Amino acid sequence: MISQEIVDLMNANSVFAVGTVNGKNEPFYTRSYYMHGNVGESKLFVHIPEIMAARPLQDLKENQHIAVNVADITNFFARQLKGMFLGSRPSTSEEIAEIKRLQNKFEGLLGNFFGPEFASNWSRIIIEPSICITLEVQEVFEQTPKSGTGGKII
Amino acid sequence: MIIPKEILPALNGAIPATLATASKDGIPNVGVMSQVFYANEKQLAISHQFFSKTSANLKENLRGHVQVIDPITAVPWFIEVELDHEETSGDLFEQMEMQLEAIASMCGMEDVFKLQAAYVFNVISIRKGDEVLRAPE
Amino acid sequence: MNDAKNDSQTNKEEIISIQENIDLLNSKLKRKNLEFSVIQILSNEIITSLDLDRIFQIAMESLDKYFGFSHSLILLKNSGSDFLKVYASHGYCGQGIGATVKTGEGVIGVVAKRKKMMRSSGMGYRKIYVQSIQKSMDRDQVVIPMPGLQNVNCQLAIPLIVKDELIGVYAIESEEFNAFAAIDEQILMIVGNQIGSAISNARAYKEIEELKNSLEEKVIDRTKKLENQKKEIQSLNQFIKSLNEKMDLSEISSKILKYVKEHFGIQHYSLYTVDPSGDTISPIYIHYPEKISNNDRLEFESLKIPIKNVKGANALAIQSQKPWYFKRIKKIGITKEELFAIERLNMKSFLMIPLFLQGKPVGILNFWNDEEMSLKKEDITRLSIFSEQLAGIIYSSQLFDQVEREKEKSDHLLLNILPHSIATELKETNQVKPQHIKSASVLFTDFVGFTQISEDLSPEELIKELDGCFSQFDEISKHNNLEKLKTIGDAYMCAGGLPIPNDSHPIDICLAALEFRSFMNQMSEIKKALNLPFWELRIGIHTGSVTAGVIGTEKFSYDIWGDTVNIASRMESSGEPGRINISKETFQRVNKLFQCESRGLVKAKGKGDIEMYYLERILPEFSQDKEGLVPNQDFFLS
Repeated sequence: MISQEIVDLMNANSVFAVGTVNGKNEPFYTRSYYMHGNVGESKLFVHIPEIMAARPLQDLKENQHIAVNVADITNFFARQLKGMFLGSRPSTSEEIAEIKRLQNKFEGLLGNFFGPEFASNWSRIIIEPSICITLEVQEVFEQTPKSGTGGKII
Repeated sequence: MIIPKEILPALNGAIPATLATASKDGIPNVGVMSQVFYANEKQLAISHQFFSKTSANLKENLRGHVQVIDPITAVPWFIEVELDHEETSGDLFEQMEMQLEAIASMCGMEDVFKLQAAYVFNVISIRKGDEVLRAPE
Repeated sequence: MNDAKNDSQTNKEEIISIQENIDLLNSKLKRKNLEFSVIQILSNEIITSLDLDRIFQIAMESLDKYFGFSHSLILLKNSGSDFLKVYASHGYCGQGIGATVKTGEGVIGVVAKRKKMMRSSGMGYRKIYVQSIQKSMDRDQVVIPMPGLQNVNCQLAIPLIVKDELIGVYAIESEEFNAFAAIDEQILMIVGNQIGSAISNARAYKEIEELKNSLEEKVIDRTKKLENQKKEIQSLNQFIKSLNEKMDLSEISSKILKYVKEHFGIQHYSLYTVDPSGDTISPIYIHYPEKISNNDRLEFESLKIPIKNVKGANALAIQSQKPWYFKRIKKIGITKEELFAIERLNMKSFLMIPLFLQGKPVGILNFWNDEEMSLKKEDITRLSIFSEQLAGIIYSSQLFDQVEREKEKSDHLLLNILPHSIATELKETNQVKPQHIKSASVLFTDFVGFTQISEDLSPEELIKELDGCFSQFDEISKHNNLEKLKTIGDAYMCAGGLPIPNDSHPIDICLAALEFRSFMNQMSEIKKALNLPFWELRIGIHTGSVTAGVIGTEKFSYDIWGDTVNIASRMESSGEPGRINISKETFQRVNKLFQCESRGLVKAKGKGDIEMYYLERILPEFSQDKEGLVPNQDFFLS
């Protein structure tokens, strides 16, 4: 179940990481630059740049288990959502526009934390074309770094 | 696999790295770490402080996937790793401890950020992912 | 054709790649050279420099030039301390110096603790990481301020180690994100060691300099102290010298009192000397308080404080041969004489210094105040030295006093024997010239019936009787301006007109004779009344020339010789008890004033017949009394 908290987190200054495992039990993760879902629902939509999508998509064919890490880079508030892969489709143009918007917003923040050079280079990440992965959220874990982290929330 | 010197800036710890592990049942886990260390030309080390799920996974499944980002170029490096051993003392451990201690002590958090162990990983493969970035204008 | 083209293509690519490699190697070499030249510079400039500031400056400037370390700090740690202190800064416009970092805190602190080099990037962001955790753990946000850039992103800290001991940290920082990545760690370690050695040397040198300076200061200080002491001793010597010139004990005492008052704030002092027996001490000088009764004063003068076999303060001082200081006097462990002194002299604080001469105690010097006095140890030492010097002076002045007294005694004795002018002459010239006196009158007396009476009296009683008479005769002679010459057994002889000649001697001697007679009459009457035996007196007088002088060297006496003396003796032996027998010569000189009875010619032994007269009394018109014994005014006018 997606809580308001998760939605807020996703809308905050967050970075997203999508973890997958292939048939040989070799883990992998891919960065996502846009994630969204509705409160109360369990479907989560994760957008991955096509240029990075090959491996995760392949993994998901072999192993539907999926883990998504959402972390606010300003305060390290983080959650890990685990669930099952439902399907994938291309991201719509509105979604891509949203990704671009988010990227711009993030660039400024990154510039503050890591310097303008990094930020401007980061903004050159090829986010389109983009793939949208849908998953069913089954478990949510506390992921904020501290002692006793990893505790299950839902 | 020999770790190219080119990756070293990405190992300076400026940008947090992420480690993906999987349980023996194939359930993935993604965690953020403070720093990936250059142990030697074939090995990398990651400090074990908090992550219980990650450690648990590693016990069952030695494989992991780490990405580090160059702090200037923003180019990601994709690294396949396999847990080799844990270290609780020695030069590497001390170096990692020092990094932790330096930051933690500035906030009075030395007790929290105690380095439990250094996970030393063999580098299976390492790849520079500069395809993800557009060419500069 | 294509193959060749391909080959040449491949070759071209190879060449390019080789070229690239060469370029890369060249740049690496260049960099290595650069790094080594830095080492060289550091070696040359700083290793040999003993100036800490110079070392700091050159090191930081060089490393800025060659490695781009635009902002750096050098912190030094004192052994045993937990803290490092910023001693030099570069790129901070002089700020930061004096800031401290605790071992184990921050990059600098951790490097100091671990004695290992450390690079750290992304400090800013990482701090956020830690702080967020802090917050999520509900811990108070604690940020320990570190010296350096506000927006530091990269830090590099090199430990400065000498002989395995951490002496400091060289900390470099940058606001860039990847400033120090390319620098070879080894080079940095070498740099760290060099700077460390240079600093260690300079510090050691500075320590020695400082030690030398402090020693020099100490020496100067000590020299000054010695100078002061010397001055004090000199002034003390002067004072003692000035005392030496005085022999008078009371003068010495008043000078001493003034001196101790000025220099030590002491109000009173007294000096006791050890009595010949060695068992007691008596005061020879006491500075009395203003209000002291005469009774007390007298008591003090005869005060004798026991110092042997008693429990007393003075006894203790003498025995221990050390000065004793009582800041507040306790009335226990003291003799009753001491208690008396303490109470009467109102002593509150008391310093006793025993005086020794050649190992023997000679006295005690006491200093006291009637309020509490505070003397420092040095004061007591100075007073002891002072007292030692005094002991000598006092002793010699005492001797001098004694000698004076002895002299007085002997003078007195001398005067008893010799007439004053003769005594003076003898004292001054050690001899007396015999005098020829043209005119003198000589008187002899003799006790009648002496021998018989003497047999009945004990020797003591006899002497007492004689002494009684002769003493009276002496008195009479004296106030009649006569010179008593001698006594021969029970005979008394005196003379007038000598040693200094005068004209009145016959009259004087007659007046004296009358007094002798009247004295004897009085005596007889008393004796008769007491039923005691008594004597009668025969008196004989003659006037003529005599020779006078002192004979003998051991036992002096002033005597006269000449016929006149013989005749005077005959006058006496030819007289009658209770009568004054005078010769013609005397008569001729006195008959105007005295009433005389002529006896005509009388036989004198060995002289044949001589004209003799009895002296009766002063002529009535010249007498004050009816017996004619006391002359009146007219007597003297004529």
